[in-house]
Amino acid sequence: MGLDFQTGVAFGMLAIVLVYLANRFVISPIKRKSSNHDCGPDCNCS
Amino acid sequence: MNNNPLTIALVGNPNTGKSTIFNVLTGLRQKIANYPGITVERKVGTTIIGGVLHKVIDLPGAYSLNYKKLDERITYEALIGSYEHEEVPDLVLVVVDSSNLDRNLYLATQVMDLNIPMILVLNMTDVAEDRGITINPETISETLGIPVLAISAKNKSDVELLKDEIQKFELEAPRPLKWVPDETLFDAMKLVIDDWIIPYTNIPENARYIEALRLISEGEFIGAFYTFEEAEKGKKIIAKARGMIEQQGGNPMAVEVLRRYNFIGECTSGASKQTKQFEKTLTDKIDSVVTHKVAGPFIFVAVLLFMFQAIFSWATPFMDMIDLLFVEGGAWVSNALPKGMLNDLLVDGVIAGLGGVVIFLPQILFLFFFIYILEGTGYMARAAFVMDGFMTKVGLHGRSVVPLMSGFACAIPGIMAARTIENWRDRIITIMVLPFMACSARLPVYALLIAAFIPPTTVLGVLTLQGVTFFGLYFFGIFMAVLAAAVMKKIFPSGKQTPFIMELPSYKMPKWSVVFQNTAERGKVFITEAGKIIVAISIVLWFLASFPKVGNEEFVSEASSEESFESYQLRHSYAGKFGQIIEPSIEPLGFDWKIGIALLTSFAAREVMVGTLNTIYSIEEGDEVNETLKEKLINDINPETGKPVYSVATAISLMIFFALAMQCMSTIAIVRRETNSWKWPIAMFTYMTVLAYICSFIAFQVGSNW
Repeated sequence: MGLDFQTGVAFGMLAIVLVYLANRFVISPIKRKSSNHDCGPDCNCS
Repeated sequence: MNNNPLTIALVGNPNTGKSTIFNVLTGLRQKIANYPGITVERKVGTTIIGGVLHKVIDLPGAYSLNYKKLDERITYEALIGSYEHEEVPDLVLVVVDSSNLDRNLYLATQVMDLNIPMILVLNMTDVAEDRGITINPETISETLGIPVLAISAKNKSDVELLKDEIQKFELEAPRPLKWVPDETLFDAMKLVIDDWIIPYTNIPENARYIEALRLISEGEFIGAFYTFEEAEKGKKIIAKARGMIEQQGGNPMAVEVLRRYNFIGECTSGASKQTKQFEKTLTDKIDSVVTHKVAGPFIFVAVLLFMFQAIFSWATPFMDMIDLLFVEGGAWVSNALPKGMLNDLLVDGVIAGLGGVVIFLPQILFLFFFIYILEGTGYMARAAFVMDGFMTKVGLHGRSVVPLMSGFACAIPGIMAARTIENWRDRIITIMVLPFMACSARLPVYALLIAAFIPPTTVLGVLTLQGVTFFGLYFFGIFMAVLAAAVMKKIFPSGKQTPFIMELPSYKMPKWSVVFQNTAERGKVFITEAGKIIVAISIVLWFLASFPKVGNEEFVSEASSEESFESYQLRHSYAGKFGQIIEPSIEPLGFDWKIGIALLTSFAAREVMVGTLNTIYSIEEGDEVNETLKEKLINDINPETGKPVYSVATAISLMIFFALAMQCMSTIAIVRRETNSWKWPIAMFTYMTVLAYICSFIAFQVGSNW
C-alpha cells in the first residue's frame, strides 16, 4: 500500500518531535550530568 | 587626571541607590547575565567620561564582606579578583545611604581594608535632609583619607559631579586598617595570615587582612572557595587565634564589629548632625499599618485575595477572544486542507493542544504583572517581614518567605532562591514544601475546571464564587506548605538558628517599563518554553490516541448503540488501552482513563494537562470542532453509566490532586541538583503524591455522597 502525502508529512512530524523530546528529556540531561558540574552553594566555578 | 580606561565597581548595601547610579552612568550600554553557574545577576556596562570609555560593574548589594549570603560572597570574590573573567576593579565607588550613615560605613571601611582605590559616594542626601540629617563630606574625607562626594542619584546633575570626580581621581589606594584593631585581635590576625593564609592559600595580598578577620569571626571555612589543601591544619590555627581573643575576655565573633563601629562613630560624630527632630516619613506612616502585627497579616491576605480575583475576572474577555480564535482557526484549517491524516493531526493535535494552553496567557500575564508591582512598590519585602514570626513558629525561616512567594510563579526559581537560607535544615524544609505553592503552571488547570464547574455566583457583593475558589486553591497550597513544614520541624532536629535581618526599602511607584518588560518576558517564556513541549506532546499523543485504527465492521459488531465511532476508536487506541489499565487505581478519586492519561502527560509540565484533554476530546468528537474544551468537559457522558463524567466532586478532587501532587519533572531535577542527592527528590515525590491521593480520595468520596 503506498503512503499518501498527508500521512507521510504527519509521520515526518512525529519523527521530528520524537527526536526533540529525546534530546530535551534524555540526551541533554545525560550530557549535563557527564560534564560533572554540580553548582551548589559552595561551588568553586569561575 | 584620569585618561586611561578603568574598570569601576559599584559596591554598597542593598537599597542605597547603587543600581540607579549604575543606570545613569551606563544608560542603555549595559548587559545583564548571571554569574557562571549561580543565579546572582551580573550587571556590566560602559560609560564615557571625558572621552574615555570605562567599564562599570554593579556588584550585588552586601552588608558586609564577612558574607552571610551568596550575593555578599560574589561581591567579596569579585573585589579581590577571584573570577577569571572579571578583572580586579581599578576603582571602587562605595555607595552609602546618607540617612543611615554609620551602618553603611561598616562595609565601606571593609572595602577600604582591601586597599583598592575608592570614592565614597554619600547618596540619598535628599532623604537624609528630609530626616533632618546634615552631613559634612569634607570632614569624613579628611578622617578616612579618601574622596567623599555627597549626591542624590535622582538628580542627573549630581551624577555629572560624580563623573567629574572619577575623571580627576588619582588612583591611590587608601591605607588599610585605619580603624586599628586592638593588640590581641591584631596578633590573632597575624597568626592566621602568617601560619595559614600565606603558606597554604592563594588569597591575594590585599585581601589577607579581611580574610583573616572573616576566618576569626566565622571560626570555620564556611563556604570557603579556595583550594585549602590542609584544611585540618587551618582549622587548628583559626581555633588558636580565636582562643587568643577569648583568653583576653573578647568574643571572636564580635571583636571586629565593635572596633570597627567605634571607629565609624568617631568619624561621623563630627561630620553628621541631626538638625531637626526626627519626623516620620510617608514610608514609616504606611509601615505602621502594613507591618502592624495584627493588621499586617490581614492586609497580606487581602492583597492576595484581590490579586487572584482580579486575575480571574480581568483576564476573561481576553481568554474568550483567544478561545474563539483557536476554535475558528481549527475550523478554517479543517476546511482548507483536504481530508486526511495531516488535517486531523493539525486540527485535533497541534491546534487543539496549543490552543488549550495559549488561552491562559492573559492570566499568566496578569499574575506576573501583579507580582512585579508588589516587588516594585516594596510590598514584597513587607510580606516577608509580616510573615516572619509565623514562619518561624511553623518551622520555616523569615528568609523562606521570598522563595515561597516566588513559588507562586514557578517552584524552580523559588527552590534556587532558597540558597540564601544558611541553615541547612531551614533550607531543606523550605525546598520540600515549596512545590505546594500554586505555581503558574497550575493556573490553566484551575481556571478550566473552575470556569466549567463552579457557578459565577456573587459573594459578599463584589467577589464571585469562582474568584473565591481560585483564591481558596492558592490558600490551600499555602496551608499545606505550612502544615508540612510544621510536621517536618518535628522530624528534623533543630540546628543553629540564624537571625532574619532584612532592610525594608522605601515605598515607591514601580518602574512601569520594568514591570511591563518583565511581564512580557514571562509571557514569552511561557509560550516558547511550555509551548514547545505542549505541541510535541500533543503530536505524540495524537498518534497514540489515533492508532491502531479500528475497522467499521469491528465497530458495528462490538460498540454499544450509544457510542460514536470516534469514541470507540479512542477507547481502543494505544492511549485508550493504557488509560484503561491505570483507570482502576484512579477511579476512587473520580477520575476516568482520559484524566489518567492527562495526569501522566502533565508530568512533563503541569499545563500539558489542558492540552492533553483538548487533544483527546477533539479526537473523540471527530469533525465537530466548534465546542470549547469547557463545553466538552461539561457535556462528556460516560457511555457505560449514561451519567456525566465530570461532577463538581470530580472537579474539586482533580484540583486538589493538582494542588498537592508532585507533577513536575523539572522540579524533581532541580531539587536533585540543589540537594546533591536523589534522597530528597524521591522523598518529595512520594510524600506529595501519597498526600494528593488521600486528599483527593476524601474530597471525591465526601463530595459525591453529599
